Amino acid sequence: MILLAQRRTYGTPLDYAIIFAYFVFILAFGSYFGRYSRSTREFFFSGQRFSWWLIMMSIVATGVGTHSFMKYSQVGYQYGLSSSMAYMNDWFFMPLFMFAWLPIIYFSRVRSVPEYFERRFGMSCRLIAVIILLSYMVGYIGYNLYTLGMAAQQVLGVDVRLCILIISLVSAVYIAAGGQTAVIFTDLAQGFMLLLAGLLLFVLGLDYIALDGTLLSGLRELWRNLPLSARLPFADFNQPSNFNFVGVFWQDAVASSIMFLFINQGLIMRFMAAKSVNEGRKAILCNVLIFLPLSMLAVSNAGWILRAAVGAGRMQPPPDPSEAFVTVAEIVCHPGVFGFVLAALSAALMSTIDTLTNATAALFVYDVYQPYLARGRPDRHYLRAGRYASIATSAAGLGLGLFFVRFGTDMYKVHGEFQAVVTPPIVAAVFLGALWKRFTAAGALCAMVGGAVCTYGSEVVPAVVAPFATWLHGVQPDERGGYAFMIAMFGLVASAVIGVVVSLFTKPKPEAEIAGLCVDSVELGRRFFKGGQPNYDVGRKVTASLRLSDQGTTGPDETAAIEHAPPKQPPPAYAVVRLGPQAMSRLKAQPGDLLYVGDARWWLGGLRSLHCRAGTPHELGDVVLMHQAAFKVGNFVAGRRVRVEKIF
Amino acid sequence: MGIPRYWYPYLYQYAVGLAIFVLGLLVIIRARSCVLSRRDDRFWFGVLIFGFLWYAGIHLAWYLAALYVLPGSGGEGGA
Repeated sequence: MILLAQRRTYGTPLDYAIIFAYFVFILAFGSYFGRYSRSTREFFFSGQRFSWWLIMMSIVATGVGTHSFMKYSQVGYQYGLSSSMAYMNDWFFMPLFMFAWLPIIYFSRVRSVPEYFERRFGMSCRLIAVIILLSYMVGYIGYNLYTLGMAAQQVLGVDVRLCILIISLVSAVYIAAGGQTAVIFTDLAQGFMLLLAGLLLFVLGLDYIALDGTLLSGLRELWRNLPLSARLPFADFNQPSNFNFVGVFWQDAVASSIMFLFINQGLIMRFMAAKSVNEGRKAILCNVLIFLPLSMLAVSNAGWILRAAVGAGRMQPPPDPSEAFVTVAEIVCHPGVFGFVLAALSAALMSTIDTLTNATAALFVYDVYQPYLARGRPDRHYLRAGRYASIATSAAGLGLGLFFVRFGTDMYKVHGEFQAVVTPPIVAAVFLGALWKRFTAAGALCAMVGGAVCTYGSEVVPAVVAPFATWLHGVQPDERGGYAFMIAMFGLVASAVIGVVVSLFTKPKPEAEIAGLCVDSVELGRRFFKGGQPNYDVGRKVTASLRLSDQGTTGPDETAAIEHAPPKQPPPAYAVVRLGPQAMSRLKAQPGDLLYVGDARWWLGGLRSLHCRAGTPHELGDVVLMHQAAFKVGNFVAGRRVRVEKIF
Repeated sequence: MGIPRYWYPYLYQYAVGLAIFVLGLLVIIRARSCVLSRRDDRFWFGVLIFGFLWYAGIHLAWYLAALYVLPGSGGEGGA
């Protein structure tokens, strides 16, 4: 096989200049946000303040990694438009996510999946979840670094280790400085960049294969040169064994969707950074309905172009289908554009790595350091620990990436197989825990341990998967005799069955102890979050001037707040703001209601904002009275108008 | 005459998917996590239904285009 790296010119100085400029920009832009991370809540969750569009772009950027461009271009080249399957089958669990899991995690203010496990089940379940998730996330960082390193070596001829080192250093610096806020804002830039680069590649590819130089002609040629099977949106139902519809459906639409939505710590932290549950819903809605199809187009199109160009005799087939992306990028991109596409590949990686690094640091601080190593320290101490943990995570990812390079693909295959064994059980446990109040701690423990044993057993004895794969769906085993796609399905079912059976024979926690942690008690969770009865009257937003006041850090419903505190958790503490009676009437707000006060400039996305409690109305007209301490926490600017909305 | 094989994935995805989706809707309504008498919840419930129809519609249009509307000549290049 001829390696691309052996026969290429590796770009022009202009391409290198663009890549260099990208790294400098991201480093400076991300580090700038260090000023907004003064507490652990801000460092890891950005203070629950951001608008939906920031959260959405961050999810887009996190979801598309370097390996996405490589993998889906390869699949697009081999199987055509059905490479879109995995990006367009994510809607089925949306009811449970939008109305169950999202309000549960948001209102209960859990800071991590393991913390949810402790509050829902107990300490032993938390410990198992921490071990599984930490190993998964650090391994995934190493895997992503490894794939980008290999891509850079293919395209630029750069030493893979040097590439991994640079990416690790840059991301470590800005994450340690700016935390979640830096991650979200750099993801905004990187998300646009990687989508733009992918779509630009599509346009250039169409231009390349067009007969008369128009995009319409390019589209016609693309379509004309794909066989019927490659034009359909789905692969064949159950053939071949390594890429068929039913396998992808159970592995991706079911297992991966639940995993992504329910146990992805990075995603949970994104939604915890949203200003409200509704903003989280808007973010996931826009992401799944609009940006996932766009992302699919961005990451797959190189494979489709190559397939059509080869069919039309305009390009030679690459020696290895995995080189589909770099083959097309190199042929259709001009100097400068090529550098931009490579910078976008780096952006795809950085935006995935930064989320994972920040999430891993959060897991370490909240689930290992705080409960086991350093209890009862001031928040400043944990903030410093969070910064060090971010650097340590980057170092661990770097080490693992280099380890994968040293020992080849076998190592990350081992890691992939390990994850295939341990993730279905934890997914089943969290899913049942959120949806079934009768699910017990013993059930969760047995589901995780027993489910992992069963899933591992199915790797060793694939025949146990046959009822799901061959008998039900006609899927034949692959050349190794296994059912790669159906193992996740088997693991989920086995873990869920074990969990349900054990739960039926064991005693569940009293309902009062799991209030707000199950779908049945979302309403209670909302009351805990507010510290009072929700007000569902729908009002309108108001804009007003902000004025500092010496009064009121406590509200008129302080007693109610204590009565509505969740079990074993402190009552919510909000700063109090006072508005005029007209503004209160327009908001349809009552004293004690939860308000969101933000800088009136929408494009700040909530960077200068704060959740507050409405105090008794004043008679000073069109102003919002706020205490100096709250003004500082919300990063407000003197003289700027603010927009106020009622949350509930 | 049976259903052509290339329709199996579409039918399977939107039959099994619909079952999962409807089960989810039932769970959130029964648990009173989604209360349809509230304007806000009613809006999001409508969004959920729209999202399902959005993807089912896109895939249906795609199938119809590939099979009937824009059949083309069908190249055989590539892998």
